[in-house]
Amino acid sequence: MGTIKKLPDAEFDIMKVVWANEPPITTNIIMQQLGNEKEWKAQTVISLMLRLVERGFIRTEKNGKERTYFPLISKEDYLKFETGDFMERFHGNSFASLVATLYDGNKIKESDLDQLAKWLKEKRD
Amino acid sequence: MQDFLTALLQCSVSMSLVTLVYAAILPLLSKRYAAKWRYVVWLVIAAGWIFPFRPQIDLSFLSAQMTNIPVTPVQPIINAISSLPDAGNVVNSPVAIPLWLVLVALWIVGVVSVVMYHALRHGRFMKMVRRWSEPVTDLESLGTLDGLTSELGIKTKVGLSVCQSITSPMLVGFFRPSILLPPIKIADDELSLILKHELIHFQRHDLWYKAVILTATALHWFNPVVYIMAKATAIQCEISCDALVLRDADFQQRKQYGETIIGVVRNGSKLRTALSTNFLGGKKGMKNRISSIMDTKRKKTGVIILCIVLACIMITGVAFAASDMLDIGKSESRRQIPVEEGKTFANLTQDGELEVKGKELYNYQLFTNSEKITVSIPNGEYTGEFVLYDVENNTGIQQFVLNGTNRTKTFENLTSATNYYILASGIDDVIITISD
Repeated sequence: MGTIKKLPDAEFDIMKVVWANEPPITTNIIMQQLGNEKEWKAQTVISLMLRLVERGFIRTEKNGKERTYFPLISKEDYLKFETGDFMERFHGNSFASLVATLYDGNKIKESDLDQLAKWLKEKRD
Repeated sequence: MQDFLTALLQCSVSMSLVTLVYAAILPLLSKRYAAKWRYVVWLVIAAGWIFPFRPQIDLSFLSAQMTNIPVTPVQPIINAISSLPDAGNVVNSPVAIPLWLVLVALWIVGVVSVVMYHALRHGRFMKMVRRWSEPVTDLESLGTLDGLTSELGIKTKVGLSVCQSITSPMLVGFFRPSILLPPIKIADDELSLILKHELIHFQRHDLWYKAVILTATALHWFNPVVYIMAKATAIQCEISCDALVLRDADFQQRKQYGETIIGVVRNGSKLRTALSTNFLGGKKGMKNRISSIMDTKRKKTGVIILCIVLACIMITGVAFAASDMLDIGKSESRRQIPVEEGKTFANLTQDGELEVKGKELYNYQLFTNSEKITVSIPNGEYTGEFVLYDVENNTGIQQFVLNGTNRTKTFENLTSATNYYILASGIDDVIITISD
């Protein structure tokens, strides 16, 4: 497996279904949970699955007549790949973001948070 | 455009002053004045950054008329000169791009870059958020959201989703607002406080104000103080939002709210560690925020502060405009000022003499109310070609040559109160005297 590349939307949608179900995954599962809703043809789903195999996101096995698929990259790993650096940069210079977050400062050390929580707890009216 | 550049720089400088002073006294103010007002004042300051044309627009208009003039007649001068029989060195002098034009171009590039950067970043963020979000289907959470929306009198439907890729709850979407929650377990009472915080952001149109702040930073990208302003406004935005969430809250509720925020930050930090490496260092800000949350002292409205700041913004604008006027006034009393934009400046001595240094093409503007002027060059081996022309009506172009035998030239019957220009070439390191 080479380096992970960012997935296009359609392939990402398929991966979401792959991650949400217990392997082995079949094209049937994909069609039921996604393909019908998107009005994809079975052939479309198969070719998208093959592309994911090429990308190293899933592997495929042939059990008799039916072809099954297994995830190679976990949702967590991919999430980390896709969001990690970007989120860091996003939080890093938050002086002018266009979203309103509950907390958008730098990360705080666990021990400092404990200290703050203790300080708050001991506060009396 | 030149006037715009001047106005922008003046605005940048005067607003830096206002911003720094306000930021410096803010810790003192926060003891006496309500958070909401401190935030409103920041927004007013941000508006001050965005609109460079404050009251000075009327005043600068006057000065603009005077300084504007030299820009237009450049073409006729060159023509006039090239028609002179012996003006080789003048014609060949390169046409320099004025400095202000370079600055304006640079400024525009900066503004476009900042806007593009933020637009792309926001677009990418929203795309990622959409990818990793699932709408909340839990009826209890949706019920809490509904209850709060009607309690706050919000008519718009606000969405609620859990997003895998964020570490703190947030409000997104200018037109279709949606509250996003990070993938952490949130207790029901905590959820209510978090949602209320985000709904108040929505109710106050904070996203739009953030866009305003962004506009200010884009326009003044070259000024570090604008980033201080943006950061401080963002902090005040949160603190004043907390204050609204806790408007009628008692001590215990405040405590719980503080704990909720610490909890969110704690879980968020874990997620952030999982997602990526990270800077530390938010402790001080966090402590300030919790202190504000626990602060139950009744505070004054900040109308006075708001008025003072407004007055400051106006006054700095006027002061700058006034100093402009003063400059113009001075030169008017001297009747002559060197023009040649961004290129050469000839020094004007007390007696109305022009010191010319180096071989350059000089263009002097004469503000004269007199009908008669005399141009003279000193004794010596000088030869210079001159063109006297009237800016208002290009017709009055007069060419003359001054040299060792013919050192002075007097013009009479000039239209009074008109701007005349003298273009000099071929003269170097001499003092030309121009007198009524």
